[in-house]
Parts: sequence; structure tokens; C-alpha cells
Amino acid sequence: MSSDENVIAGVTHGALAYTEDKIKAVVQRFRNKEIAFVEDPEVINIAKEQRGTAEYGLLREYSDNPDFHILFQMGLTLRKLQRQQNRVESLRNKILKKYEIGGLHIAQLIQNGFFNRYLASALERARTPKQLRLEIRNLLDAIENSVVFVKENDNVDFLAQTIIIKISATNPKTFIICASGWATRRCREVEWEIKKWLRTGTLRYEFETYTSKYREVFLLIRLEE
Amino acid sequence: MRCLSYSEEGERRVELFSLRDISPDLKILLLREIGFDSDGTFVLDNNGEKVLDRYINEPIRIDNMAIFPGSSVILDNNPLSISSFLEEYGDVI
Repeated sequence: MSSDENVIAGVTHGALAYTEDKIKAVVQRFRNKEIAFVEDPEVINIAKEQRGTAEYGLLREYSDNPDFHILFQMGLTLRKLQRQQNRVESLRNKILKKYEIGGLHIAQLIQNGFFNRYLASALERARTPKQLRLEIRNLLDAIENSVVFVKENDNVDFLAQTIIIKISATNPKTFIICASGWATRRCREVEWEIKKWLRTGTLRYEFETYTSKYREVFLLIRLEE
Repeated sequence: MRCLSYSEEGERRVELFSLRDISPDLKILLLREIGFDSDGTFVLDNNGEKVLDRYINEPIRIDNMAIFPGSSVILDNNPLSISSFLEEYGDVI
């Protein structure tokens, strides 16, 4: 690579040639706050890239919670790394350890684009930006009572009953049932059971469904009196 | 390897210096130069205790560390820690 190409790429090679004296010289630049040391600059570049996306900029608008900001970024990063299964698993484990299952579910909502479907729906319903922010905050704060990720091997009847019990107990403004990949078929079966329950009129919810080849999002929205 | 970093306004930011091809001995030298140490695997503080990543609360390995200037913040070089750092300090790198 020519020096011109290095400038274009923003990368200079030569680390293998570093000696003790050269390391000390680089440390001086570190002390002058000109340089940071990283094992793999790609990790930082990916983090910065996600922070610069329009999607993150939009998501950030709707929450003041720094933890949610980080989880939004983690969702986008999981999406970016989706073909690198080892890195995805490692990151999922770190998210789970720090933010528990609720945090991981927030990141997964972003990763799979499910949150965008919800946001589109919420935007149509909210009367004011303040109301929209409140609805989003309520959803994310109580995510374990508001979202179910259907898995391929889930038992449809059991899961549908669990969802009905959750909704009956907490009466959330919005409840999201979602799935990706092979689990989308199972998700549709769960939806069918939930729709049957809705027809009994026990609770007043309307629903919206977003379907694509590999994703299914079923939104239940509480009808206001 | 060095990676230059610029803000959207074209302002020069802190340069990224990759440690990927630096030998473990030189990494330990580097750590000692900035007031830390290592047992050959983990980053140690000046009391010989393992330094924990402030965001994930795990010991930092010398083969996967990120060191930022200023107050010499040392992190595990993973997306969660890096994004948390950027969230706390802004886009300084």
C-alpha cells in the first residue's frame, strides 16, 4: 500500500517493527493525549459507526436514559455483527450480565428492527412528542411485561396462555409479540390464539401485524375508554 | 497500525494505535510506562491487583485492552465497554 493509499484508508502499518524505544516514544504521544491504544480498532470504529447512524439518532431522541442509549447501540451492533456468531454470543452474554434479560431484550428489539415497527405505530397514535416519549419509556421500563420473543420450539397453547395472563395482570398500553427466522410460523400460531381471546372481549385491545419473510411483529394496543 | 480519527467537522481526534501486532513484552512495557503492570495475562494496578473494566466489571486481558489518554482509562476492548465509554465521555476518539 502506498503512503497515499494509507492516508486515504486512514491506516498506517508498521507495528511489527516497534521496539522498546519506539514504544516509549509512542507513550509520550499518549501522555500528550494524541493517541489511544487499542487491540482492535475495528471495535471502536463499529461503535462510532452505530452512534452515527440515522436510526440511532432517531432512537436517542425518544429517551433520556443513558442505559437505553447504550442498549440501542448494542442492538445496532448485534445487527452489524450478525454473521459473526462468536462475537454476537460474546456481546449478548456481556449485555445479559450487565443489564439482565430486560436489557438484552431491548437490544434484541433494536437488532431485529422490531422496535422500528413499534415506533411507526406509536408515532401514528401519539398526540404529542411528550406523550410518545412517555409511552416508549413505559414500554422499555417494563419490557418483561410488554414483549415476548417467540422461539421456534415454544408450545403455542402454553405461550398464548402466558401472554394472556401477563396482559390481564398488567394491562400494558402496548404488548409486542415478535419472532424472526423459523420462529415466525410459531409466532403466527400464537397470534391466532391471542386473536381468539381478544374476540371474547375480556380486555379491549386492537392489533397490528407486520409480516415479512423472516420477521413477524404482532402489536397489541390497548383501546382507551 | 495507526488509525486516524476525525470528527464530522473535520477536527482531528485522538489517533488509534493498534496493539494487535505488538508483542506481550512490549505491551507490559507500555503498561509500566503509564503506571500499570501485568502478570502476563491481565492488567494490574500499582498494588498488583487486577484492573477491572469499569463497565463490565471484569479483569482486563493484555491481549484485548483499550487504553484512552487523559486519566488513562483502561477497558476491555469489547463493543459494550467502548460504547459505554463513548456515552460517558462523548465522541473523543
